[in-house]
Amino acid sequence: MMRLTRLIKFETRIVVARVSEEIRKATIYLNPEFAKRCGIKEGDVVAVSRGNRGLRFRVRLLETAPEDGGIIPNSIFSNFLADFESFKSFRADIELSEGDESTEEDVIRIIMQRK
Amino acid sequence: MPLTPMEIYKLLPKTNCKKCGEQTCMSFAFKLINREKKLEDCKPLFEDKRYELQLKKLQEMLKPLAEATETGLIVRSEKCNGCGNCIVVCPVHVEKDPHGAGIGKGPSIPDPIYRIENGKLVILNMHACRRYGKNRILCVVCRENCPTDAISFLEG
Amino acid sequence: MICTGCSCLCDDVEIAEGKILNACERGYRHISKYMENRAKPAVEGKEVDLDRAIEAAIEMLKSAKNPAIYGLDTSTVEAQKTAVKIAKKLNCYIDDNSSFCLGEFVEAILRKELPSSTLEDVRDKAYVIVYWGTNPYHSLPRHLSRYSYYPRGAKRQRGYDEDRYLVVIDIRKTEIAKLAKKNAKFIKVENDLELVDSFMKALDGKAGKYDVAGVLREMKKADFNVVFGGLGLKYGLRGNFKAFIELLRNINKFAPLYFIPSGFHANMRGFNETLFEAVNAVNSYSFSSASSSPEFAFTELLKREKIDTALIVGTDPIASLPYEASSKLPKIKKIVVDPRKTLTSRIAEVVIPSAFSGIESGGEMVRSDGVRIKLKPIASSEFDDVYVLKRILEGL
Repeated sequence: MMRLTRLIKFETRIVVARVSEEIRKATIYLNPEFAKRCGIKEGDVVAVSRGNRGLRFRVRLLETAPEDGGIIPNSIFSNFLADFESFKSFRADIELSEGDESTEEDVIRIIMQRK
Repeated sequence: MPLTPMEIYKLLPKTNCKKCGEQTCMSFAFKLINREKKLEDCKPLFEDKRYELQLKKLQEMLKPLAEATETGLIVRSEKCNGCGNCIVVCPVHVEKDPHGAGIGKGPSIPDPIYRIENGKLVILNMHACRRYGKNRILCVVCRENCPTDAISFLEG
Repeated sequence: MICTGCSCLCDDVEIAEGKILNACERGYRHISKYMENRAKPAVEGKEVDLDRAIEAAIEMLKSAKNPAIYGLDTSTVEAQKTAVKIAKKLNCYIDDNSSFCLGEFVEAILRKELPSSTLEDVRDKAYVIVYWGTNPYHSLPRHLSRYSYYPRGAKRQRGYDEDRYLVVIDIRKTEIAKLAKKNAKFIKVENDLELVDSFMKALDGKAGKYDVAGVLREMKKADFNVVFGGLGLKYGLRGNFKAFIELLRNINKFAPLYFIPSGFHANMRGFNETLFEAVNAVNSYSFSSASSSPEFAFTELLKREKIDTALIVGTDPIASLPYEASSKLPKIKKIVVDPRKTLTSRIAEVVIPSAFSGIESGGEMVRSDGVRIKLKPIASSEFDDVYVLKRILEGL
């Protein structure tokens, strides 16, 4: 059964923050209310894009995430999407996606290719 | 959800047979929650086949009780990051260890209630907690100051 | 031992019965896993011996037209001093992460524009404790229990519910915001400059967008109050540090209020103070121009393609810098000095392994409040940052 939310992009507020866990894969912590409104569940993979850059993130739910979006831990993944103007907080588009979350190798490859 | 004596009573034989040493099954239910009696004290539950299903349900229901310490304190380790708030706010630690835990350091007494080991809260001497024993009081200071609700109490 | 997992530099960490006691989870990971995933010396991706790698680094720096030295926030003061000597010898740029973190605040403290104090003084005396744009629960986990809200300090014997007033300012209700219950306040801020303005208005008895008159009243009750400022404050001010410094000066006419930066890196303050002692600047310094400027920040030099070589010590720029800077890393030659295999070392021309400061090698670090701490390592490695950097300096 295909979820309707697969067709929709949501505008999200992303806050970049430290988390206590050690995460090596791209993870986004969504506010549970926000996730529910968008029809996104824990464990889903979402495509997060900002301008012409995007990555896939695994969804976890976290109550302390902002009400209109989520947290991406300080990492190569958050920095790929951020810029110095909006280092700690920015707006991005989020939609349900196929496949697995992006890896560190994926991002390094993109950076090396766009030389 | 905290466990209530009524929920336990509903699954007991309700015969008031007094084999557990209590006058009524309701009294036994209360004593079970306070851990002054064990489920095994109710002989009919275990010996009579009629109560098999109820026994299973009771064992399931009482599992968190068995996992909790004697004061009913449960630590969800996956939520704990070793911030130490609980150790420093504990009134017992403040009184017994004013130059150690009381002032923000790791406990300097040989028998703290708990301490941080390998980054997580580990309970060592729960009987020193004010929630324990005959003169117990409903102290909730550690739970109130845990930023992630890693500490909880059975009674709610 | 002294944990070097963050800028708290907790000195009560013990190792007993095979367990690490008193350190938080991050400290535990830092100390228990130091032997994992260690770097091996390499040139152009091929493993070589340490001497060969150091020689290759020296050659690369000698033939560089515009080198820069970057990182050093987890190195000891001794290593930082050696790095400054290298930058001077090469007449090049030197910078750390504070240029996009809390450098401006540390500079204001060192120039005495912001009044500051020690964490022990906060513990013993502070009444109103403000966390502005920082969530120490994740970045400095033991901060509240060791130094601020919870300990019964000398003049704060009655504990947090009578002798402390906690104020948490953030854009979301963080873990420490949840602790602001009785005798406390959580301010959910959308615009930090408007909040600064609200404080200024409240000092004049006027109403602003945010209701902060109560906070000021509490500050007036005591002779010691403190603000811990983090990245949320820095980026929230949008470059207008003057407004914040002005605010603190004005509040201090009304009630004593100190400022301590809530930085994460174990020895970022050490770098700022070391460079300040040498050249009167906290970061973003160019020896050839003999001046410090935002355009000499490592991130700017990368973005505007002003350098051809970088000596990167104890930091992982391909992971920690936004794309506009990290995307330029492939264009320059890189020497990475780090105890671990980092993401940047995967694309570096020269990789030199070093040792973990505080765990395998000693020296001095500076805590976030400026107090100097002498490290107490539990192991010993000869080939630490100081060794590597001294070898490089000698070879130039």
